[in-house]
Amino acid sequence: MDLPIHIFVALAFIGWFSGLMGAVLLVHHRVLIGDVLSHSVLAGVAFVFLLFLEVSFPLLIAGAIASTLLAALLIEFIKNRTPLKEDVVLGIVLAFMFAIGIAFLAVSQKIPSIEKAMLNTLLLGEVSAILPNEVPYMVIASIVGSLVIWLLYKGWFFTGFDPVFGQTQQVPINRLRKILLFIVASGILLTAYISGVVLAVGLLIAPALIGRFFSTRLYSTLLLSGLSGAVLAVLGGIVSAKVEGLSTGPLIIFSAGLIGLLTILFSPHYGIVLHRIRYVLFKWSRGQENILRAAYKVLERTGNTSYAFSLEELKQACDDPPPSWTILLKVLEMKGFVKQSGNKWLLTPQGLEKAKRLTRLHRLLELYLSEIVKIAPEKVHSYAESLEHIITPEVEQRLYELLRDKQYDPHKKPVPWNGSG
Amino acid sequence: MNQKNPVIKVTNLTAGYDTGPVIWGVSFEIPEGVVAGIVGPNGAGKSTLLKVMVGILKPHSGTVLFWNKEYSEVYKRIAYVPQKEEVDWTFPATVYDVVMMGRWVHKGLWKRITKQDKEIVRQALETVEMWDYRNRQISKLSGGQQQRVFFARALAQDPDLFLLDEPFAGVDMKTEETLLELLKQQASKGKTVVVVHHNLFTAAEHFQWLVLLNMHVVSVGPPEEVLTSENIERAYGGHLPVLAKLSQRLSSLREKPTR
Repeated sequence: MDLPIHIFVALAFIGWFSGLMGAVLLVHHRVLIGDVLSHSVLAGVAFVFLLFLEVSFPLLIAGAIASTLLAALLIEFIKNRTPLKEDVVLGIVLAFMFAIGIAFLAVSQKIPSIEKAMLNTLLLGEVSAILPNEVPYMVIASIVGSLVIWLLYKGWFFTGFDPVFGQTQQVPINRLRKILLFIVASGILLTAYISGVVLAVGLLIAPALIGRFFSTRLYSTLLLSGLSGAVLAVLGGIVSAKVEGLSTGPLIIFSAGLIGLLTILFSPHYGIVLHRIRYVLFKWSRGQENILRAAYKVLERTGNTSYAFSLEELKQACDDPPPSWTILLKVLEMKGFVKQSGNKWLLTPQGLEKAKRLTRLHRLLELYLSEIVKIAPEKVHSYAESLEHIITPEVEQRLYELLRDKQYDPHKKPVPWNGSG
Repeated sequence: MNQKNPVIKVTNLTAGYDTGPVIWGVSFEIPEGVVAGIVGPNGAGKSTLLKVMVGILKPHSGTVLFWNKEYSEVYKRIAYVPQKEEVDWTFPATVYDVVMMGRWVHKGLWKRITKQDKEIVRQALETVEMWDYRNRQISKLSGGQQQRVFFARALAQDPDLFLLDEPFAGVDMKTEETLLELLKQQASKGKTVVVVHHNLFTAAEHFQWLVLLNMHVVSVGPPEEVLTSENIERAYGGHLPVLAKLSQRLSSLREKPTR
């Protein structure tokens, strides 16, 4: 089954607008409001349905907007008149409005001879039910809604980032917040139309997350959220056309959710996966440095730089054991820092040079921490242990200049300057 | 200092929240061209006072006048710097965006940003040495940097009066010194600076004019007149272990020639 083109037009515009609404709500930490308002759509629509028994599109919109506005008013009223926190208020209004909607729906099922499919469609979302003559309304509504959000662009900085400063400069913070609520209350009907009232919040959140994760400024967050909303909605439409017998709403939300999840995993700033990879790489490079430093300690004890040491000796000398001795020793061998002879190991000249540098850095850091930062000598070892792996060459150079006439670290071990030891 | 034309004149101000007034019958004046401090112990009502002054909180009674006018007539000439904790640093914005907000207050929501506005923002950022950080996301700033950005926004607003709520809380020493230096520069240009400050120790050195507050006004005037041990006892309850040290420091301060 292929969907006609007018449906994709509707999906793209509504997806864009939903993403935009989601992004503005997200930066205000108020996404859940979208969920409450979308659940409220059902009550109004079902009420109009029961009242007139047959329904035209404009009438349906009127019913839906009336009930979302009622929900918005309820939220504001309860929040202003009681000490309840916003999450409690949202829970109350969501449960209340949705219960009414479900009750109306149950009543309508008992009345014979009316078109009930419409209501069930609204519950879970079915884009194939969109008629060509409805599409222009949807497109115009999406454009108007987006324009209002763009026009108030600067306002969102005050309401979202710094409302106190806004109030001191007579920016109408409360009015802007009400306008946001009003935009979502009227716009959520469109979202609910393609994704169903229960899941509409998904089409707000997923694009907004993508937008937020990949940008650092408000305008790019908004643009990206809108674009990903459009793409996700169209994708969901395509997928649902391929899968017979499934409502489009859940499919749109499912694909949106999946892409949203991938974003969280792989985004450059906040992605968990890249973060993890960087962490593992760091651990392995730290391990190599620790092995070289342990080797230097062993050689220092024997006083012979061409001494072949065993793995056991190495393990004893190392305070911060690497993730794997065998693998990292192999890596060091490939890099030409160590050589294997029998079951013992030798430092190559390059290896010795590097080990010496690392030891010098470690001991100078200890000196710096104890003599200049005045940290107790017993503590400096572990601090230096973690610092030495992240020092930049520039800082290292400064450290050399600062401490160039020191011969011993706080534990009376010699600092291996070039030419000495 | 021109005492006859105070920049701020607070008269008999009583204000607070639903639970009752926090400040009672507060009256004081702040002259033009000084760096002034509003000092007092925790719970003295310092931030409440500031919130009433900038029109966020309605007073129960009393008046606040700036240049003999109501706040609503002159708010564009007044830059308010909130406490760092009062804003959402996760908001998607760069340092540049935040400082540009200082220009937006003159433009409303729709007027265009001009070349001149951009130039003012650049100067403000250079003044606080944050121009190199202009594209940094605000969530990645340190406490000291956040405060510098806030001050740059206030500068960009090009006001005649700065009101800062605890600007030195949670910032490093260097930032505190730099900020103070910048505030003094502004004062020397004839602008007036009012800082809510909780650290009595540094108050004597930081400010040329003090309002010592503990729900009532305990004393107003130059620090050497305000910070007598008698006044401090009245404001802080007299059991302050640092009192002795402080008065030592103050007497040494008084021996110095005037600024």
